[in-house]
Amino acid sequence: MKIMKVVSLAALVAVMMFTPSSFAATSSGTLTVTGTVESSLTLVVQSAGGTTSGTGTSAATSALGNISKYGSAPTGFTLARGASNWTLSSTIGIQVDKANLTSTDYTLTAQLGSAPASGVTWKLNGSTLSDSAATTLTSTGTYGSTASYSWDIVVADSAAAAAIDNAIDFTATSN
Amino acid sequence: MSKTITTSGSAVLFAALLWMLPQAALAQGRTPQGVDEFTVTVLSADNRPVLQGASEVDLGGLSNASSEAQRHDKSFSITRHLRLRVTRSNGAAGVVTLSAFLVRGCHPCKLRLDGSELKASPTLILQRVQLNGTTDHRLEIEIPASMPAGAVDAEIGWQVEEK
Repeated sequence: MKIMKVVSLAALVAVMMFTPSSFAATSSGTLTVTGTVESSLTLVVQSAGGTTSGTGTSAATSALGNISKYGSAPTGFTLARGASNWTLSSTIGIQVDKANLTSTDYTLTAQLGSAPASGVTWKLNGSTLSDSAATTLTSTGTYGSTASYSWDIVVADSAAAAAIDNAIDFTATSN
Repeated sequence: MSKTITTSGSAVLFAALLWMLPQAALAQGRTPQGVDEFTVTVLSADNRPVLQGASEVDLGGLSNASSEAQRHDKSFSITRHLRLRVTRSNGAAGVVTLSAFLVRGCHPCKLRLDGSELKASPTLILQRVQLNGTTDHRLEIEIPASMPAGAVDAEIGWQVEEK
């Protein structure tokens, strides 16, 4: 009988030790989360000649400062003097990334934001840009890597001394 | 001798029954008293219930190119803020812990609540929640860039544990 009590006490102690001190209850509420994943492309200007700001984003700026045929080339540019014009040359690095898209490559075009100053020609990859139509730079762009495009600004000796400000608008389209 | 063994067996059986009692209550989603059942409600910004006990958060269009997207190496995430209220059916006050789990996931996307990734098993969200009060939370969805475009439809369940 004495042994029996010891066993019962041990059992009770065991119960007290292993009974949880808290009780869980799965609540009646749930939260449904819905949404629609959309395909997207992002285009980033990774590099450009000149004194740049905003590289690594889709809206970079390049300042060339005062430029002249017989002056120094702006940062990141070379200057070549011709018989009747002079050319500033550099490169622009463009990276296009895709998300939630099955496309394997992309087409990249460029277009000037406004008409170039008289006597000034803007070129990318050897092609002259205009503000009226887009110029195709590549139709087989590789996602996720920076592609470098040659960038030339040709200034005629006859061009008036004035600002040459402009914008190059890039458009990437998935193929 | 045989009586001692029999009594010992009864004690073990008694202990087993005591042990099973709270487990049975757990399975029913109730405390042992059988009267306390909790509801977790998602509130709007002004603390009004969006929909008692069965709320829905529509994240809308989820795009890597959107201004609210946080871009990572091979994924992006969108974050929304939620306010929750935990109540007991009888309205009594108390302190509970709140855990969340995925009733229905959205693989390969991930859902996080206050930074903790939600899975099929409960993840502790808050150690101490005052019943009838409100708590603020961040719901984050991370979407791999490789995930095909289309609908996301996940469901989060709650587990409330009273001390």
